Amino acid sequence: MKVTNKKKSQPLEPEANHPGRENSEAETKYRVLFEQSPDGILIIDTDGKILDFNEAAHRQLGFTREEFAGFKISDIDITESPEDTRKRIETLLKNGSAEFDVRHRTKDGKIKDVHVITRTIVLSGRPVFHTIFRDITAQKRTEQLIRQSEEKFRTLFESATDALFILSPEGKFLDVNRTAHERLGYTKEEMLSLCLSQLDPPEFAARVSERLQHVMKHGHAIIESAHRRKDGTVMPVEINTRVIDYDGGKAIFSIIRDITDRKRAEEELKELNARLQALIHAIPDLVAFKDTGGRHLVVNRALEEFTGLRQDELIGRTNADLLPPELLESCDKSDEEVLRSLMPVHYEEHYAGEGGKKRYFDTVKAPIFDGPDDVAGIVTVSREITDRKKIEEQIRASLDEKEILLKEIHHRVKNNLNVIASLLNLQMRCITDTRLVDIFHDCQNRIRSMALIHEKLYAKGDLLEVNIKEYVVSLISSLSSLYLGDKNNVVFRTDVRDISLDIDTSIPCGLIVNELVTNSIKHAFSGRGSGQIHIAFYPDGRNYTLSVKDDGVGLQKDFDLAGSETLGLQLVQVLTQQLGGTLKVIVDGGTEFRITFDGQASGPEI
Amino acid sequence: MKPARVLIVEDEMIFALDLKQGLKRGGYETCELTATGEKALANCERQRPDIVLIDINLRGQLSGIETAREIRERFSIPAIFMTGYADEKTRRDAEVAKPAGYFIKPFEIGKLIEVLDSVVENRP
Repeated sequence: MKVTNKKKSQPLEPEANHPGRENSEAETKYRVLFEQSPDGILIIDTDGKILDFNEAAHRQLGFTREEFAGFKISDIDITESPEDTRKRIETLLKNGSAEFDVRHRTKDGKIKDVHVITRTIVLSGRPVFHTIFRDITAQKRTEQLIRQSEEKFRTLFESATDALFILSPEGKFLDVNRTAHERLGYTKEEMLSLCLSQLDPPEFAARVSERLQHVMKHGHAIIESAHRRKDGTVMPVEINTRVIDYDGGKAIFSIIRDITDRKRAEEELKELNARLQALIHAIPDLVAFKDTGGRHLVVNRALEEFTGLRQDELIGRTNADLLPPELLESCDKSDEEVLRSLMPVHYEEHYAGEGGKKRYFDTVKAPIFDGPDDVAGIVTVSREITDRKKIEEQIRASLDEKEILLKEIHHRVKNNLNVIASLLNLQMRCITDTRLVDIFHDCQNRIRSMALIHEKLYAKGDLLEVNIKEYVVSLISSLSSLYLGDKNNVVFRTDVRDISLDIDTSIPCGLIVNELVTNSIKHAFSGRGSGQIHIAFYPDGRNYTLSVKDDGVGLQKDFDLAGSETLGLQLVQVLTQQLGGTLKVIVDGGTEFRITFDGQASGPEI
Repeated sequence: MKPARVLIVEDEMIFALDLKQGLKRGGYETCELTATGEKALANCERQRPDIVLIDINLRGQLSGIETAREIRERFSIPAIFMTGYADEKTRRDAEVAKPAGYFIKPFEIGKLIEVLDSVVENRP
């Protein structure tokens, strides 16, 4: 195909290397090359006017041949001003050729980056510029992206809080970021003049070469090492390395993390762990940590001794592997309970040890947590309490024995008092004087009221206190039987609360009731057919009140209790004193003796 | 009518003597005072009392309950128990001897004589 320029009558042909128009073969070859070139080709005159263009130029810029016909180079070149173009043409005419990048405008308004190679040739006897341009828009875009990427990398590289090295495979610093050189106390230039082995303390420096080879072979590695600062101090580091393509070759990219704090924490943890281990081993109780699957993770020496197995033999074993059958069920059950409830459990267990001897254990189990709701396992502490159990049994047996003895003593005291009462009976039968017989009877009743206290003490298991209600009922029954026999002319009413008193309080109370009831039976109803005796005992705050009241003839108005020579009333007064209480006599349609005493007093006020 | 004879089995001899005098006043004859179960069995064999008044807690091999049971089985003599222990267990244990009465010490002699009278009246 022949390209023509309508402004020209003849197509333009290069003359520089093909002198002679007659060489049509060379022309044909040139035209083929001209048209088939993938790059755009323009023939431009010294005024900047486009004289000819090839198919690629048409295709790349989108202008029709007709449009091209009137174009100057400045119509498509948006980079240069007409003045710039003029200067470039002058330079070209002077130098003969040039190579440069400009930007072309296409017909549809797009801007393309182009690389231009232009040479001055002579066509039809005048100089023109044979201009080849190549679309480098994509290449420019790529270069821009690379540049942006490089900028981003550089920003990240420099602003990283971890130290970053780029090392040659031999360990020479190719690049370091600010954190790296500042942390080590060097300037960047100083760092770049060093090798890695110069940075490592001797114990690590010796292995630098080996480590670099390892990284180059495997492509990456995470290494713990140490770096020496410019001031000589050493900092433990963790180096995360990776082989990268760098500057047309291979390099090692390293992220260096200062692990001083971590190392310190690890050391502290190690120290703490060692202390805990020492503590756990020093505990004489059996201690074990188990995971949620029941496998032993930690055991102490006591457990080793108990099982006869070494620590390494115990770790990973379960209850079923280690425990005697009697303990297995309770142990499994309590493990389950701890894991279910997430609360500690406390229980006693026992099994038949060597020779069938029972061994007792006091066991506490508690959950171990990794997080608030994340149970990691169970800690078990078992204390052998066999000796304590034995002592407890001995103490219990001893207490039982003492209780029996105490019961026996009370029984014996009661029997002896009854023997005394019998002796008085025997003596009474030898006496004919009824006044004396009465005195003997009174004495006998006093003795029996005391004997009744001892009977009540041993009859009820407690041995320390007497139920005053039961006691008064028994005493009234005894006195009624003795003085009234089958006669029912005197009615007894009791309002005694269910109160227990110790022996020091109950004996004086019993004797007082005995004296006052006897007194009422004997004297209150003289000349009367019947009467009523009311016995009350009740608490009033911290005090107790004991009252014996009859509806009999009543004492004389001028009755002087303090001056009374009656033994019974004298006893009532001294016993009230023994109780630390007060005695009040109320004569109002009968007689009431009212004794009030402190129920919580430690002892009598005598 | 010949007064009924009571064998008192009691190791507390002053109490036994008091009982003996009280029973005598109540119109009863008493056998030789006996302190142990073994001697009680021998005296029953020898003296054949009408009633045995026996303490539950006796010194010696035989308890009052065992002795009363054997006396009842061997001689068909009724027994009345006396005890210082007023607890339910002692009372339940005593039931095996099918006693004719049960008295907790100290007791009124008059009450005892009433029971004795009743036993004597109802004896076969």
